Amino acid sequence: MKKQITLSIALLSSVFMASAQTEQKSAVDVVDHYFEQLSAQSEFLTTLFTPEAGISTVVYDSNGIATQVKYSRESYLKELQRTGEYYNFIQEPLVLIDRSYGYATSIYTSVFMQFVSKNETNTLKSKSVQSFKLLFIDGNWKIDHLSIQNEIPGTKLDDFLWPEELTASLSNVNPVSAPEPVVSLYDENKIYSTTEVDEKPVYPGKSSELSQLLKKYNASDSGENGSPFLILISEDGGASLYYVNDLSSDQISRAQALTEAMVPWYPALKDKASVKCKIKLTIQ
Amino acid sequence: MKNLSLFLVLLFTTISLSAQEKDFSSIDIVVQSFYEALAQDNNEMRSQQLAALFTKDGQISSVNHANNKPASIKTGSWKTFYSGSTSLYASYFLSNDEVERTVDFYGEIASVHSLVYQTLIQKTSKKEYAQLYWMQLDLVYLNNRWYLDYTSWTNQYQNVAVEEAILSDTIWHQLSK
Repeated sequence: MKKQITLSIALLSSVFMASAQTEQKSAVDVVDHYFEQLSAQSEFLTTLFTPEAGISTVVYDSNGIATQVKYSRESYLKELQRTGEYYNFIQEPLVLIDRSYGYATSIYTSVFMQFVSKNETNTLKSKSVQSFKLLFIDGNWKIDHLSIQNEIPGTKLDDFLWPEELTASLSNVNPVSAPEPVVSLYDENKIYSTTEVDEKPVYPGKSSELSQLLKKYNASDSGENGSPFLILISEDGGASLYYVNDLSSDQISRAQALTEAMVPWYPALKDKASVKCKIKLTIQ
Repeated sequence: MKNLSLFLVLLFTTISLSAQEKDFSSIDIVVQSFYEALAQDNNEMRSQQLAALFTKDGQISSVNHANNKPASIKTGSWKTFYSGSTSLYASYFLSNDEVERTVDFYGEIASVHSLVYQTLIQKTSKKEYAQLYWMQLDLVYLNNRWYLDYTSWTNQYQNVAVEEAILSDTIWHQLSK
């Protein structure tokens, strides 16, 4: 009974209509509409939710302890608008697991996210898993609850939620779960972790200079006391923000400022060639 | 009478403690405990059991389909559900029998779907009503245990098998870039 369909956005509107609701948008349409409206951050977004809807996100404190942040549809819009002051963001559902019966629908989906800094050309890319609960009220599907879990570094999404067929073009920018084939020579497109390179990236000058810089932005490279994020050191030593996980908008801004304040690094070496390398830092 | 009151106070305290001290580190225990809480006839105990299971702002929604007319939908917090359902419990005994379950999870969130036979027994006439429900439960893992953050139930109608709800359709969405 399971169906597996590849559909364009345009085709999505033709499926999963309950027989009694053929004139209205389907639940999948509404979820699609939600993702389209996120980047606009308009008041219209709130109309996609029921008045009592809750939006739940999981964030991690400086000790890595998970806490829940719960929004109403109005406070969620405000949070999106705050983030929108610094970033243009695009979220696109990738694989949607749809369960539906009568006036209720559940959609569990993987999401590809892009945050484009308004001051820079830098684009941050990430993933999340989101669980939508929808109800058919007064002739329209409305989101009654949304749970959001952003990607956890080191915890891969299930393959069925992130299929190679759809994500092959993202593999070079995939921050965590990109396929990592065993190769004897370096791959110029690959972003290596520090454990994979022959020589790790080195910040020029005395070690205290990097420490002072990190301290200025309440960041650390010791792996403790802060929310984790990744920076990318390119082949020419340039540093850029790479993966922000669950950082708040303020933390993202400081992490961005930190990378901009860095002088070029000595890049990582693999097979005697300079290669891209990601470094994990934490920020308060 | 005084002894009886004391006994009831102690009973409530014991049940309250057991609900709070229950190990909710597995999804299975939380789901089972939820169905037990729904079946709890005593209002005070049901309230305590639900409070132990839900996040502070946890939601309960219900979809009651009826033949040939729009479904009746209720949304709100679990507290709203509790206060609005006491009249039902005054008239009926309720029991739940879970027959099937699927779980999707990643990180600190989980999404559970289950099919439940719910039986209502009219307290005075002993008349019995049974219906199959699709239960949806979204959970969140905080402080080394799972909490219910959202639950909803949907009843079967017009002989359309509610078992269909458990079966999933998978849609692949082409990225624009």
